[in-house]
Amino acid sequence: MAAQFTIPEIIEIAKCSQYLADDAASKGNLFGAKLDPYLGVKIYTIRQDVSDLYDLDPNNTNGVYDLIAMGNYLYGMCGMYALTAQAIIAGGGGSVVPPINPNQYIWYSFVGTVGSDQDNSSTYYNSLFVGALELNTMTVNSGALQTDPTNFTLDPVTGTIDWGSNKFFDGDIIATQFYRKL
Amino acid sequence: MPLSENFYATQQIGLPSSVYIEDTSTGSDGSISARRVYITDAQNNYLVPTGTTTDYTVWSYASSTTSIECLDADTAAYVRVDWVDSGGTALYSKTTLCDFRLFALQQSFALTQALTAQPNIIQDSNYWTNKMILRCNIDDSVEAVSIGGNQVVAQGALDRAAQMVNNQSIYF
Repeated sequence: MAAQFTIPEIIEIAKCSQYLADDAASKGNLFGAKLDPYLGVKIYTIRQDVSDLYDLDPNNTNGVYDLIAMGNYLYGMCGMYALTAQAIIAGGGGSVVPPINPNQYIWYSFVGTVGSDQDNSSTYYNSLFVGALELNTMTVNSGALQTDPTNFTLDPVTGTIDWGSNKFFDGDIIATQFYRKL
Repeated sequence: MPLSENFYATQQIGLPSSVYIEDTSTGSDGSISARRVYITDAQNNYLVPTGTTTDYTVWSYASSTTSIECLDADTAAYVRVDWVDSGGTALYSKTTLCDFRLFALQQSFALTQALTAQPNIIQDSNYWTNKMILRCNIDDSVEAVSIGGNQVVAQGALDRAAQMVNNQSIYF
């Protein structure tokens, strides 16, 4: 039942279900299972709406758009992939994850929000930055493009960006892109 | 401790024509008497509330937030805040490129909301294709700003989304 999940949890389940649906379609499962080949894209489309609405109105107080109903719809759209997604998120879904070649890299298009625990600090930490490669640019609150090492430096061992004399504040939106080894 | 100027510009649900700005500066400077907000669209037009005769909107220094109703449509805009002294001289200034897309977002929300109440809409001809195009244009505008820092490309995506929003009877 979707009601037991929070909206952020449903969004994470949908992210995982999206690639599971795409993976199933690419493997040709649709021929035997009547699978919608566009399900992954549809999940993405609805997930982005739910995610944006949650960002704008996390407490669902706007009185026009029902975040809970939209979240439940998103969960329902994930269908049979939702349970697998939960298992993967919990770390127990190895049987459905395709084998990983350790020499492959994955490309991240990262958008994150500075939390109150890192408010007013010249550094920003995120575990995804550990081992990051070619993280050469970033923007903060859609501002001017910041470059490494002119404006900031990354310590890929600790996963920390040092912004020099500038500071990160609670709620700042950080966008960057980089590679990581799988 | 001098002012370390900073601000955050966003929009609030239900108010797509308004820009909400919060001052997140640290430190202080006793010489500051007010702020001025310059909002510039892709054609270099200054966006101000109706009745304003200056290129900027005055933002009282006593208030850490302000809401400026100046958008007729979704807009990729440079927002510049000047912290000025009593003579109007800018002591501090900061500019950020922002993607104000709430008109299109609210349309997208409404479409999803409609699906929750009437799931069989999903089978309507071209419904999904057009909803995905709308969503794609919204996301294009976000990435044009956050990754590319490109106001014109972002505005182009927003204009395409607006065309769908303004002709929703055709597309949805």
